[in-house]
Amino acid sequence: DGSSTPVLRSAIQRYSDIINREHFTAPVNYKQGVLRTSGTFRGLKVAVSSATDDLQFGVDESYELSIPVDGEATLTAKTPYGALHGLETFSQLVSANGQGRAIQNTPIHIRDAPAFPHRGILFDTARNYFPVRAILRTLDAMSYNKMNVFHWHIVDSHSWPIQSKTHPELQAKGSYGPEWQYSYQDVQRVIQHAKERGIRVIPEFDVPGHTMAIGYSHPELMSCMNVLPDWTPYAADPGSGQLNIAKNESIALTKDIVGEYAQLFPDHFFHLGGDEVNRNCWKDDAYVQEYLKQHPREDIESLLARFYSEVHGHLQKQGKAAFSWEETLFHSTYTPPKDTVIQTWIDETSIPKAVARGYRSIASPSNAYYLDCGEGGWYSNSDDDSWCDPFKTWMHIYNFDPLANVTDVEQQKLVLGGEVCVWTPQTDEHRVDPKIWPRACALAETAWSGKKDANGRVRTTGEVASRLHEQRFRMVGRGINAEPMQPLWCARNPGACNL
Amino acid sequence: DESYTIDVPVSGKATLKAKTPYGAIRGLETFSQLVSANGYAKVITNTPIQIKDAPVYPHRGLVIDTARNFLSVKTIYRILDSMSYNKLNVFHWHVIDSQSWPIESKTFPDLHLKGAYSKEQTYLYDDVKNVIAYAKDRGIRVIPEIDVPGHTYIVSLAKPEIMSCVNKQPNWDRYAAEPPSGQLNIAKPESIDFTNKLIDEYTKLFPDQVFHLGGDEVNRNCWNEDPDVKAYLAAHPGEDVESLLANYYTKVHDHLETTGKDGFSWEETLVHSKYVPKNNTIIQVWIDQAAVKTAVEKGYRVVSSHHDYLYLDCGHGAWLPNNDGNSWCDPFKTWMHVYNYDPAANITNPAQRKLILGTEAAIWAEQTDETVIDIRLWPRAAAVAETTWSGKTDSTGHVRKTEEVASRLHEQRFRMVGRGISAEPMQPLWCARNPGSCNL
Repeated sequence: DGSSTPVLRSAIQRYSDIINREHFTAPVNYKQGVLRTSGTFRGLKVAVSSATDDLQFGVDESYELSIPVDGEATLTAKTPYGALHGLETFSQLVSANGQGRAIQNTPIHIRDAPAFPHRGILFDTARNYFPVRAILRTLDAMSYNKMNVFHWHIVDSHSWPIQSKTHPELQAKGSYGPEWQYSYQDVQRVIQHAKERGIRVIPEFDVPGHTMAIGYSHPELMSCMNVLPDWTPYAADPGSGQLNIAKNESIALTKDIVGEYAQLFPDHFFHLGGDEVNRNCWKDDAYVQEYLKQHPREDIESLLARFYSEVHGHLQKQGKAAFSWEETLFHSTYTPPKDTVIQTWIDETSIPKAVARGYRSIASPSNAYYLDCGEGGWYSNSDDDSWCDPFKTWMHIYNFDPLANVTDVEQQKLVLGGEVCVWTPQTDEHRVDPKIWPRACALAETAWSGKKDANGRVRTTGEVASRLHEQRFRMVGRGINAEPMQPLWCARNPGACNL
Repeated sequence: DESYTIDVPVSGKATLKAKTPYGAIRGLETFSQLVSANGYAKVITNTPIQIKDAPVYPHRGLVIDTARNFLSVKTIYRILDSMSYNKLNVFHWHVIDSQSWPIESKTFPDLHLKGAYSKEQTYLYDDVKNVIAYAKDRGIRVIPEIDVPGHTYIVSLAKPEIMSCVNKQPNWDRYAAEPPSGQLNIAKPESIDFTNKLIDEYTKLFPDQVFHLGGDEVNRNCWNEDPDVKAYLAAHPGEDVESLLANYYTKVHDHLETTGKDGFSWEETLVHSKYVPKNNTIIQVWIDQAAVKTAVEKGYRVVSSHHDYLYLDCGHGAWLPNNDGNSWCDPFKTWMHVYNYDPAANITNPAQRKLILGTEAAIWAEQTDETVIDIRLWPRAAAVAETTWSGKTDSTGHVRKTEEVASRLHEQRFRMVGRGISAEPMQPLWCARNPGSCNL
């Protein structure tokens, strides 16, 4: 009913398939048996008022879902993306009932809209490569949880997998090999698959640190390239290498990269990185030392600020706005443009500081939202924990409040949401599903529904566990290898496995 | 005897010799690892090759828990395959526990009919026999564990009358190491009779010489506060909970002896009870290394599963949903940490060192099921597979360091992935390709 767009049509087809295929019983209902039904479901009418499929930040994701005891259900939304979320909710209301299916607790009337507009996953495809099928499956899993941003951390020190048409030497020399690349076609496929699920793809080209992979094709543009055996003064992880910011050619190359990929990726936002920038790397570089001798009024900080200014300026010329790691704001002399979104990661004081400066911000604190932590260190000669251990349980993720310590109402509006981060030094296709799920669901609920229930009470993990068990098992049924939270006995006996 | 020799000439026929088929199986695995791709064909590099190999430790196993969460037979086959790729030779099947009883019992069918998670999540006799046969084809012994008298809440679904402290809520932690609480009532002779009948049944089903009777994390409050036990002790003033427990162990281990099998028992039977295990009982250590010393000094054979090195489930945080904390045995044990373990670390006496049969890495399944079992096991279990097959030192007596080993473990990890085992990655691929570049 109403407008029909390609996204809406494909969503309706997809959810019809999911619902028809699914025969799901929540673990807590394992003894339920067949319920007698009091009405007949006569279809779901979907009505969307907007005639466009435009997907950008701020799109209306609200919906209203009405399911009577008997008859036709209705789903209305302003955009196809609201309808998408409503279809997901609807699919979760359907359970197996003997050989058939049923919707319980009718009549149901839901009016739903997200608390935060940015509910994402950061996905690192540079430390280890992920075939497109793994990315598509992750996007599917995100749609089951109403997540809407795929922050694609495509390149980093260890590899450059993405095709470049302006500088094909980047992936020719920087990728792990021809089978470990993303062609333009692959990228467009990911973007399309994401769009059909209401997910925006924000690419990140992390500069000027984390760029050793560029050095394989452009050694002349690098500082502290793969210093061994002691990389520790020059980088946060082994595989040191940063763009030599004293060289104009570094800026030119970066601008080429920004220009190229700003066209390939349609989102209004583009992540320019800027994390873990190491000053020793340049202090000890002979070219930089010579340059600074010749230009005594400059120093490393002014060079870095100039680099940022040029690159952010070039991005603005493409008509886009930037995402940037918090160090660009807090650990440099550069002042990012006002529309830059600051991604915080260091700890829970970062968000309050960023919004106090008037910047929009998203939360991805390493002590709560980094999903990679907890597998110990990965240096071969060290028997240590990882820097961000321990493992962040779903409870720990759930308990984090992106608005913590932000009391000013106007500043609270600047907190756009959060991202759980899948850094992949110890993850590849074979273990990515359980690495992400069901823990990312904890962020998904916090960011969609907020921390409090309708009575203004902060939800506790003891109460939430039962619903998360159900979601986990439903996802497994849909082909996502989400890990188990507890013994099945505990899932079936809510409240019996609390401390 | 698992020894073998391999001779691969530069050209011509290679030979593999062994005393037993199991030595040959080990040799075939080694041989398969010598073969690499060469363009579209295959090749063996570094010929001529002469290998003379035999394991340092005879007992190199995994403890697999199929009670907290179920693992299908197909998954168990895959675990056995992955073990064979690493020359592991004992599948310690921790088949039942408080949360479920998946294995068929013909003596007490209600155990699995009421205690299994579902009909599909059950191991019938045929399934068990198939697992044993599949394992034997790979030179892997299957040692079953019926963990008694603790860890038995699930028995209450079939025989509530022989139980104590069944599913105490909300303070289960007074009565058990984890929820739900429940232990056999050791003041009742029916508990002993029940256990002995299970021993009769399962010693027939499992052909191995060794049978594990559990005995870990036995909670005294459970009995001290049980009205029936209190009544019994009031009527028998010469006895107490400790003497009841010692009597229980005596009776069931004596009964096991009549079947001709050797007992295998968690360390608490030796160090936290008044019972004195029989001389031929193997002690499984998990709490600390001191128990290894205690056990071998008393002349017992030992298998170590030291939790701080070999409990591969640790590091996943707490699993009780209202607790935002770590698991009791955090942190995660990296492969380096696993590799650095020496089960004979504090034992200098050679006769005592011989009593250390080997190790078992454990996957307790509170947070593990089919979706993640490969990842939890591999490649970390390969680290202990090497140190128990080849020992800690190389042929010059030098203790191998993890940075020397990383390259070979990367290779093994990728080979296993190619063979269908979802072993997790150790590092960025860049590090695997550039050995020595990712050290601290």
